[in-house]
Amino acid sequence: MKNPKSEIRNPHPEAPLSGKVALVTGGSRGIGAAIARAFAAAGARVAINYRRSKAEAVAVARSFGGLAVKGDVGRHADKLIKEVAAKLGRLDLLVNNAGHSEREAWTGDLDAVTEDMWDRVLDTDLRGTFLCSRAAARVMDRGKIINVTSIPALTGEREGIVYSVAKAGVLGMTKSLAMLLAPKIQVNCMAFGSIETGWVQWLPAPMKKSYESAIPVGRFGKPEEVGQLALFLATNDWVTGQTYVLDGGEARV
Amino acid sequence: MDNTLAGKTALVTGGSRGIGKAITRALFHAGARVIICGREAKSLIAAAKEIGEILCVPADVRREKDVRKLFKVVDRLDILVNNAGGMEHYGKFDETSLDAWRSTFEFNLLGAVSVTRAALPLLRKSRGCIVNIASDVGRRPFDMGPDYCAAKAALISLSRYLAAELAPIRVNAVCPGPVVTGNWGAASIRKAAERTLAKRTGTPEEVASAVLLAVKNGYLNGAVLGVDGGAVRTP
Repeated sequence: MKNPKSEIRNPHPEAPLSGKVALVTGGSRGIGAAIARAFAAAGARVAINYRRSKAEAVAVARSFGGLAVKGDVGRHADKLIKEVAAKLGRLDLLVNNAGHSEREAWTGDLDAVTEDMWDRVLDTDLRGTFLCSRAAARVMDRGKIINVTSIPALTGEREGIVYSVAKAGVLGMTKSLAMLLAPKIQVNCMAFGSIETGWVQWLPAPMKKSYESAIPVGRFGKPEEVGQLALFLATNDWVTGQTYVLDGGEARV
Repeated sequence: MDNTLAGKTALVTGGSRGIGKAITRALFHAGARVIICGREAKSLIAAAKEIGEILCVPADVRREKDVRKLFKVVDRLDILVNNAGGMEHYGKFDETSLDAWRSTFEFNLLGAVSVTRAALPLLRKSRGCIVNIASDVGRRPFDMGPDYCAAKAALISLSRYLAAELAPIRVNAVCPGPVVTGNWGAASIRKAAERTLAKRTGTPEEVASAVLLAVKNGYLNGAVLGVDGGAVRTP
């Protein structure tokens, strides 16, 4: 039942990221924390970045012996990346997960979208992803950049025009970066549907039920499923420029 | 070696050679009981000798009789990988006869349809999953013949369609780019590598790892997973 060849191919099947250093932006909770945990469990040394949630970030980092680093990705990306590379010695994996979450920006009323709202969302989700990626590419030898986007980027979203624009920008950026940074750095993006830890927390219970019934697998995604997908993109060297949709079959795009 | 698929039964069509063999090996090493089918008994046996205790059934997915016989052997099923398929000929549109079109669709689309239909009662019982092996040329056409590109596009569309209709059975497509598995000439390998961002062709193992992801991740459904060195970046 044994195949000696495949055992030679992967000397650390339990720790595929052993020796690697990862930074997950916006890693103090939710999806970011799930990815950070998955990477740490796979043997990576992981830094998580936060802007305001220091206590949460420190607790998450401590849970897997990682590092919490403060910084606004839209403004201090260079400093942030340099700090991680200096403290952990290198950088192999960057997950651009930080996103500006603002409930008021989820609106179907065009007049309720303010210019400040527009700037706040795009500064973090789009500008932050660009600045962190560029800074990371300067210090990475070989590595992976994994971006986070969501279904509205692909389909449009009546009640989330600002987010759909920011996340559609991330889609284009992913492909352009994949071209610019090949063949040493693979750049991909995960497009999430409804994940338990994200915006679905804001839904009232009856609405949550009706959302779930529209998803073929009949439920929201779990943080571990996000971590598993991120780990795949962190380890496969021939996947680049791709958008992997994780949505239980909701969008089928 | 992990054991996450222990207790699961998988069927890989065309599982004895190339990408199919790598998928068979990956599923086997994840602990699954694996059944493979293929047209040549010899290559099925060779794969079993190389990989380990897998069940081999000679069957051509294009023949209904063979598929019926196959499902007399398959008694339970959690994972179906529709991998059988391939390019049988190459020509420009005006060089491709209707018979050539029919043959390409029989091999690359209807084979998967036929096996999926036969597998459905077992997959419903196990709430299992399906992975269809399509191609990057099904996402964005490339100079590989109009019939082959269109048949692979149809297989991708079928995967997305079934992801809704067959729920809770999950259905995903994996789209490999150029992977050298047969006797490719040096010039065609160079040409294939050139169309990727990675500037190299892929390995069967790199494709198999995406199949394993599609099998293991319970929230992947209706997804089209490109594994192609960045050759195609559109949905």
